[in-house]
Amino acid sequence: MAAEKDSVKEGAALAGMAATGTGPTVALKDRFDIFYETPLPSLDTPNATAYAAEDKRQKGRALFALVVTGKMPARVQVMKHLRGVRTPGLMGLVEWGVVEWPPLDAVRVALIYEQPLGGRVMTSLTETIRPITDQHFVKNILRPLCVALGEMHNHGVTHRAIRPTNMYWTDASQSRIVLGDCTTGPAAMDQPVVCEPIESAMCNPEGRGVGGYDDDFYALGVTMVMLLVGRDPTAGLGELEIVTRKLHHGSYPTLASDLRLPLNMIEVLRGLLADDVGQRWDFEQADLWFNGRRMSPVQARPFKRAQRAFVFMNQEYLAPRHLAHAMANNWDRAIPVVLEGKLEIWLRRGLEDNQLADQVAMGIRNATAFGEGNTSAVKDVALANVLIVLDRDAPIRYRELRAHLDGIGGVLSAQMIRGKDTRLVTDLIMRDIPKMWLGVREKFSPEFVQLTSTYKELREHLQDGMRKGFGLERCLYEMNDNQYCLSPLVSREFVLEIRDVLPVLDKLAARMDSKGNPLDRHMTAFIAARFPKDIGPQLLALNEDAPKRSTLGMLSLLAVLQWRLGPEAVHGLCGWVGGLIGPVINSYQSRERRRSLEQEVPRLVRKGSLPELYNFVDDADERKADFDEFQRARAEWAMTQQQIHAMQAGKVGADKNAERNGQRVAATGSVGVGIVTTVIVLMGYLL
Amino acid sequence: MGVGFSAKIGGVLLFAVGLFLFLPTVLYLVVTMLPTAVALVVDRSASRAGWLCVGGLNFAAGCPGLFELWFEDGSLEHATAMISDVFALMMIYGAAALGWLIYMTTPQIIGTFMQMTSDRRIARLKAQQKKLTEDWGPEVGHDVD
Repeated sequence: MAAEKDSVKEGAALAGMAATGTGPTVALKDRFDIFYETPLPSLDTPNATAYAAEDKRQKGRALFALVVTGKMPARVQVMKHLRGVRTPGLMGLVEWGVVEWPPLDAVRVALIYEQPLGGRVMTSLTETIRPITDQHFVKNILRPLCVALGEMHNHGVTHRAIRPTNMYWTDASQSRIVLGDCTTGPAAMDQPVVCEPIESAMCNPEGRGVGGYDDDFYALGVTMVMLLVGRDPTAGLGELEIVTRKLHHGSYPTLASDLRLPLNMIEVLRGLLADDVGQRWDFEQADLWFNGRRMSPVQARPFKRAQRAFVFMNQEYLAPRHLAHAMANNWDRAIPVVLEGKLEIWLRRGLEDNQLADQVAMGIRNATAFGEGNTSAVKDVALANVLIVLDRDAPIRYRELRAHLDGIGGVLSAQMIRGKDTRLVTDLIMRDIPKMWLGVREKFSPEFVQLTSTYKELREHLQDGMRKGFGLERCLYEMNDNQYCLSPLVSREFVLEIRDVLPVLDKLAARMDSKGNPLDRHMTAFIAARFPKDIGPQLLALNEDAPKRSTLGMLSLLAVLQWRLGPEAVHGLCGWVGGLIGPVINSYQSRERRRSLEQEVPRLVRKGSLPELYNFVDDADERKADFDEFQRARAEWAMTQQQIHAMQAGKVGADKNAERNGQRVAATGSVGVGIVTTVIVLMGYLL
Repeated sequence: MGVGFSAKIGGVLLFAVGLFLFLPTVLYLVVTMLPTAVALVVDRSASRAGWLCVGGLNFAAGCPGLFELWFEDGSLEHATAMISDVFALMMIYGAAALGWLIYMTTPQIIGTFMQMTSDRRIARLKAQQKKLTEDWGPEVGHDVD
């Protein structure tokens, strides 16, 4: 938003002429030159910076580049869908890709857009512009925008960044408007509260989730009101006040009831601003209206009111939804009110809704199951459950955290990127609050079954938090398809898809400390979340305490990646890993075998094949031979030791034998001498 | 006991008859073989073979005189003259002394030889263990007493 505010002057200057770049360039896909020393601040988005760009094949084409220089994850999946989509109400995304970005000395995502020549429609929501009173407003402005949304929805993507400050006049005469970029930041994160439906406006900006098509049409309705009156009708009101007013009075009355709007626009605006999603207009209804079909304006459905009011903080509330909103914003004061049972009594007697009261009681009971002896945790979970019951359409509210179920990942992502506390997200998942949210849905949807299973898995990942490939990091990547890898190893790179991992590590190998492990917690979790095959055994080995097992696990995981996804050779990474496999080689007992392996590894490293390296150092036959031979060597050593012991123990006895033997030898010799002498002398006499 | 006693009585009678019939020979042997008799009495070694060692050389030195008595002059006077010859007696007793010396020193020589053989064998076994340790690391001897 700040970027948008700062851009007013440049926007005016740019109006009517395409920006031409000067200076050095970076090439995107060998076709588009981005002039990184020619910024275009008027076209910046909150998470991206705009630069002049040029099509090498079509000089003079009015283009500009948005480079995602912010840390928030871009919606790359949406980029894939919108590339090449041409529709009058949408700023055309010509190309996108990753580029080496010299200003940051890093790899960043860059997008090439067709440049709108009329500047930004509103530079900030506090600005007042000339109301658009064009009699062809519907034909020239509203209809193209609706068609653009219809086209996006045909591609299965939502815009979620529809606001006057993200719209541009396509031409210098300011006759047509296009929707600006919606891909450089998380969905709806930069939307002002006034442009979001009540439920989404209640969320933390990061927790709004991808949302639905109806959210886009609501934002379009709000934007149309602002364009028709030339200002934000809620200017000066705080965000909480805007939400409260919409909640109590409805969106259309809050935004448009006091304004003088063209009569022909009231029906379409009521349709677009309907708070009931079921009643809100979508492309088909708008198209029918464009084609002349007129219907009675949408009227807000009355909500169920209590016979007597519930008093909370000196305010009277007749509807559970209003009460839930007040309680969510006064968390600590709401807890005793809920736990003391006053609320349940009011629901039974005041609102006469026993089913709702039973659900509230159940929510409190469920909370105690996750108390873990922590009473404050029990209270927080109890209130979160009760708020879910009181207002099913509202986001999950847990202390300061407010997020739709598909937005919890966004909150986690933002908190981790900003280095802030993630405890609330962890608690929310561990205490099974999403299960409560899913449990009170009125209509069954297969998506809920999948969500239940997803959150169960996330809890298991958190319970395994100490192990690589699990924990909060795994949750982050499981919950955010657009989340690039946050490993410090690749902070200057851009790893978004599993196929990017090995090439980036291979590139890193040249400048990394060869003693560092290529698989840190983030990288492992990223691989575990993105790799489509089961890598449980590899993760198990990777987390072993024994260096041999963990190194083998690391090598095995990388080898599986290369085997399944390529590339064919990763020489740098092979060299890096080759320097780390000492413990694996040392796991062989035979020193001779170790020497042989050490001599052979450099040859395999030169081949760049991790699977071959893995198969070589963990060859089953070699392992068995090593084991068998080692057992034989042990037996031989033991036998030798026994012989030595026996000989050393037998020394005393040997000395005694030596004495006895010596005496006998002496006696025998002496007797022998006596006999020989006798015989000789005797023969002297006889012969 | 009866047998031992009879043998002793028999020995005494035989000695008495021998003394009467072969007095010069008996006299000569009693005097010249005295060191052997002493050795038989004083020997406390394990093998009790000292008298044999002394006796062997003692007899070897004394047998020329004995045969001279038997084949040349078997008179009592000649026997008396021979046992009175100091030089001859020194020869005979010297041989007996040499026998005793051999008896005392031979076990030590044999013991030293046997120990040398054993040490060499232990050294060879230890060298074998060292080779195993070089080939397989110190783990090869772990958990082995």
